[in-house]
Amino acid sequence: MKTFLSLAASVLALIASAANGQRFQQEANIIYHADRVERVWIGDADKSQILYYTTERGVDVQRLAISKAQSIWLMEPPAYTAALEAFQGRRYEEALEGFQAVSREYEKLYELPDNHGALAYFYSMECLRKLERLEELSKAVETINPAARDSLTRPYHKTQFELYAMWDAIRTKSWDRVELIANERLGQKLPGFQRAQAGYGLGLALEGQGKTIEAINAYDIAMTADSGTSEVVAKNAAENAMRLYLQDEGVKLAQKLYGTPDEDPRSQGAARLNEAVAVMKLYEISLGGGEALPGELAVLKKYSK
Amino acid sequence: MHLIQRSIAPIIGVLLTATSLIMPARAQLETPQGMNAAATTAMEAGKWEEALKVLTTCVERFDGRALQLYGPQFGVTWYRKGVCEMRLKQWDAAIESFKVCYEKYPSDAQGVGNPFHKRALLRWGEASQGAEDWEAALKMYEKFLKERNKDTDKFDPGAMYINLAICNLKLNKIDEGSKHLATALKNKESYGTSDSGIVSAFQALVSAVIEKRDEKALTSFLDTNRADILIEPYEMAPYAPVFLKLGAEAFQSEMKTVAFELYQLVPSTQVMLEDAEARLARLGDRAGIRDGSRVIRRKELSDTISRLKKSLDSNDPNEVVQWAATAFLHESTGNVRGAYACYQQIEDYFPRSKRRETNLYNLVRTASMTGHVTETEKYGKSFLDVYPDSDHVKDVQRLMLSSLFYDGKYEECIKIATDLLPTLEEKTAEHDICLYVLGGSFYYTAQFAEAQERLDQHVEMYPESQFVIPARYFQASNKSRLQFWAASAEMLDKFLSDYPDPSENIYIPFALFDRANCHYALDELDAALDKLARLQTEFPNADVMEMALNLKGNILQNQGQKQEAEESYLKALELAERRGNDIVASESLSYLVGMLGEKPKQKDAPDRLADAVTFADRFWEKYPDSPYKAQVAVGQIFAMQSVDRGEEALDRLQGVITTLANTPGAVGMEEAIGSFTEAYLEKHTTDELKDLYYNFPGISISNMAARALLRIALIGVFEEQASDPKGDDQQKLRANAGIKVLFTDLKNEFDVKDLSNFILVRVGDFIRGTKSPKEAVPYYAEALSRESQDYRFPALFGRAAVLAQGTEAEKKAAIEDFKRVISDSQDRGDKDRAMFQMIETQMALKEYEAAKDNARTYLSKDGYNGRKPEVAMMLAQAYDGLGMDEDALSAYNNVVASYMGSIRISAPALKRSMEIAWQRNGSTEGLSDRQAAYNAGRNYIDLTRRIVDTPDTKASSEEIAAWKEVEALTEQYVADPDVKSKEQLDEEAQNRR
Repeated sequence: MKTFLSLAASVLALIASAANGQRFQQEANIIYHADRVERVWIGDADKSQILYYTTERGVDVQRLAISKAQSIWLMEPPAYTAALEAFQGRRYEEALEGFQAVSREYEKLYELPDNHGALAYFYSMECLRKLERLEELSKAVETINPAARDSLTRPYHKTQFELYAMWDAIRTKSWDRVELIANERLGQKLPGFQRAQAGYGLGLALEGQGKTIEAINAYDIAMTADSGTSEVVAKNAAENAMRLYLQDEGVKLAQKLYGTPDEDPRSQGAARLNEAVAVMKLYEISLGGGEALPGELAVLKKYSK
Repeated sequence: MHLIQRSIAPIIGVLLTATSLIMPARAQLETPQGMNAAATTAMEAGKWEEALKVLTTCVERFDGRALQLYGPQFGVTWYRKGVCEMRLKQWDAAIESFKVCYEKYPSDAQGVGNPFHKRALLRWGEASQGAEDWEAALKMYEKFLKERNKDTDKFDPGAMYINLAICNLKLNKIDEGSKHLATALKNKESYGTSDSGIVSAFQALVSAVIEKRDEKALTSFLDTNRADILIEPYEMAPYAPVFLKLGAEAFQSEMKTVAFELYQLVPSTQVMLEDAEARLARLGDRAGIRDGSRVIRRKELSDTISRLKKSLDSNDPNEVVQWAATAFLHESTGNVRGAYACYQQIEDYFPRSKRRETNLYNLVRTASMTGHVTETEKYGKSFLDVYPDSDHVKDVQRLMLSSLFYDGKYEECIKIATDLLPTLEEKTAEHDICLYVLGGSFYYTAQFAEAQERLDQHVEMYPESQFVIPARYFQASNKSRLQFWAASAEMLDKFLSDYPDPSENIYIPFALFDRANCHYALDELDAALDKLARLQTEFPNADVMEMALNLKGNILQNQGQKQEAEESYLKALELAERRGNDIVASESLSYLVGMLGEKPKQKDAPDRLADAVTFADRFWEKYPDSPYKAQVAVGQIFAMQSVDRGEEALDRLQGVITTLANTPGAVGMEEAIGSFTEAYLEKHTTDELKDLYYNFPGISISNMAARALLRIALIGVFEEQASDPKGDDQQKLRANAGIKVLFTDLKNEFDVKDLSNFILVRVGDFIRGTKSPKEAVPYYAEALSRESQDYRFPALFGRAAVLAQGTEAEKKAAIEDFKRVISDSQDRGDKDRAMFQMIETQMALKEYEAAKDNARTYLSKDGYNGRKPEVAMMLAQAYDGLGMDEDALSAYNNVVASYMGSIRISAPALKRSMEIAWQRNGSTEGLSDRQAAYNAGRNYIDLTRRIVDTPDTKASSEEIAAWKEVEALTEQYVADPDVKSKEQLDEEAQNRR
């Protein structure tokens, strides 16, 4: 936790940065009670106090003990809004860049609850996860400012850090650990996008341990936990499931006999081939996010009746 | 109605109110100004009806001359009236009001007079939109945009673009509508486009897409505008149900992509809740706050939190609908496993949902379909516990059982169905399936006795069951597994005749195969081939074809047609390998190795030993774990020896013996040990064999079954030595002593439970031959108590042979066993000796009629050969017992004539024949019966004396005694004065000449 210098020193620092044209500030409302709100521009903060200007271009620095206000509402910075829009638009590279910039710019307010610097840091990690840049994700998780981490108030943000541990285990292919974490998380009530991650992790772990059907079942959790909203996880899960189906000996035989007089539609292999074809159709309908089926999986189209 | 409006204040306007302030109150109400003022006050208070009443009175009273008296300004009254009517959803009236405002009260050329003149067009458009006259609405909006004064006629662009989007979309102009919606979205911040407006327009877009079946339009729109359409989680709560409803509509219209897209727009309830809570916490006591273009309101957040918490508390958040819908989408596409995952998540996370009954039922259903057998049982039990009166109860019970059954979990089926069956009412659908599954499960787990009882019961109780065809098939087939070949054959014939249509009866090929097997077992080889030919012709792709081809090979081989048999085995092999049926492929190879690797019986027989070795090598390479490895290890011995690989074959066989010995339930041990013994003795002594068998590598001292088999093998060796005609007496003595010791060991050291059926029968047979035959019964009984059908008929025969020597009841039981052997044993020798002993037992019971019939069968052309003299004698005795003297006499005479040399038979037969004739005391063609009796006796004595009455006779003492009885009777008869001796007769004849 950071501690302010003496008020005079802090004020001097703020005045100096203002003079250099490099002043940081974030618009906010200090809510004292229902009928009293003060519009301010916060230049720095720790857990107990804020330093602020009363006008956007003012130079008089005020100090407020946070305990004297009911709450501080930080106005959403346009750069954060833009990055969030890119994130929601699934433009993760662009979003990552935006969030990283915001998290750097607003790091002075890391200790305020739900500050946009910490939120941007969180979303930058989510971008790395979506982009499957797991090395960078691990590093980002490792190096997050503890104050920023503590400032996130939504419980699902906290839970996501537990899932980052799973992603790190995925990165190192520590399947036992992945399985353990995934099963623990699936035993909890999680938001769909986190259940999808846990299902996917479990699928990878079971696949890594050669448990084919169990892995497919886990991938089905990933594909359905949030109806496929987690598009990266859902797409990967569908592809992995199809790949696993095609590795099944019974499916191979069913492929061989497909369309021949010896085809046995009641065999387990034929049933699983049908399941694989169904996943392929779901991939084309939704799970693939509009992308073409990867080459080695396109063979499934032959078995679509 | 899809109408987007912003705050009411700018709509009302201020004109015609200013003057009201300087007039007396009463007078005010008598003038348009006063009435407008009163109406405005009511409007500001939201009293739309009251305001409308005043304004209606105003236009009724003043409109006639208003233009002249008040000028275009009076148009404001119509404008306000229209606004009130819109508020009250009186769209047509509102349209009319705005129309009058615009058309009757235009401003002057400078735009002065009626400040709402152009804005009336905008409202006219909105009222038309309210009246769902989309074309008119669009026309008015366009007219407004064209005519408005850009300085004075301000409008809310967000609402305008949303309305343009909605109208176009309602007219199914998707491109145009999407364009306007996209404009509203892209400028959401600057236009302040409302979320409710966005959702309304998006709803219109989805409806248009569904109606025009243009999925691409929506996916393209979302690809471009996803970020803008996604509302912040805390704001989403009111709209989530709309998206879920739209998703359901899309799914019903079979537009799965759209449905998925819509469900994906709904955030997690937990995320919405936590987002709302975080923002509410930041609000303090403040009622609301503006952050950019967004207004965050305490009440809305509180309502959202309350609503979401309630939905979570009641276990019915959006996720329950979302998962159920996703389950439908997956299942309808064929991914039942995905549907199962959805239902499982609902059950795991929201087990108190009011939809739980349906969800849990679907969970059981999809678990059953995807082979989640344990889960089917687990969730099925939950369902039955929680919803014992549900309409789905019967389905769940059925699913639990059928899931287990169709997934081949027969042991679990037996467990559940055994518990369930007594609780079900007979003659119900549930009892029907339960009984069927129980019988079928016993059938598939080779518990044939238990299966038969249930299947018989099912067929009898449920002749109209949906399972009647499989049940009838299992019943008939099961009978053959119990080796009731004849009964099975009859049932299969009836089954095939009752259900001849292959489109309804998928078991026909299986039944034909089983029927062929029955024919084969009953030695009806041609009939068996006929059935297999029918199978090949009518069902060339049958699942059992490779097995049928192997059976055909067996039959042809049995008929000596080795080349044809080989062809059939090769076809079976090729088909089985193509189908990935390793067991049958390895079975084909075992037959090929066995047949081609036989020692040639004729010198000029083709030498196929090298081929046998090739097939054997292929077997060991591809199917080393096949259950037929014992057969191949045995069958290859001679062929391998012929190519100097005898040691390898012996090692292999030894290894197989060890493997089989350590595999519970493995078959083929007896043959393997027998073959090994034979091959081993070619280069080793009996003592070496004995040493090896007492310490066989890899067979532990606790492996009683294997050790017993090895002892039996040694007994076999000793038995050969004991019966070797070239062997010396000393060797025979040693061999017999060895046999006795080994059998005694087997009896004393080994528990019957440890012994295989083969050994049980061997030990039983040995004991049966001692002075305490009844001690053999437990050995036979143990073999017969097992599910395994191995050595069933020798065991049945052995037990019957012992019982036949017992009490009357035991004799009768013995007859039943004999009948079973005669009916179903595949071994003709078994049948022969069973038939003989049955006749003997029937004679002992004085059941002469049955004995007579069976003896006639035995002696018939297609009968048996083993004990013809004895049976011929018993036939005569049966006639005798029945008092049929003529037939008896004839039969006795036949015996004497046919088997005169066999004194033990012919002597008693003749004696009895003489007695009958003597007793009859009649005459035939002048010869008296008594003379004839004497003549026969004397003739017999003369002809057989050289066999019996010589110093070096080989006849037994019993035979000599019997012969002497005939001799004595002959002498007794000749002493009668009416009977002439042979000598007298000869003399008289001489005299006559």
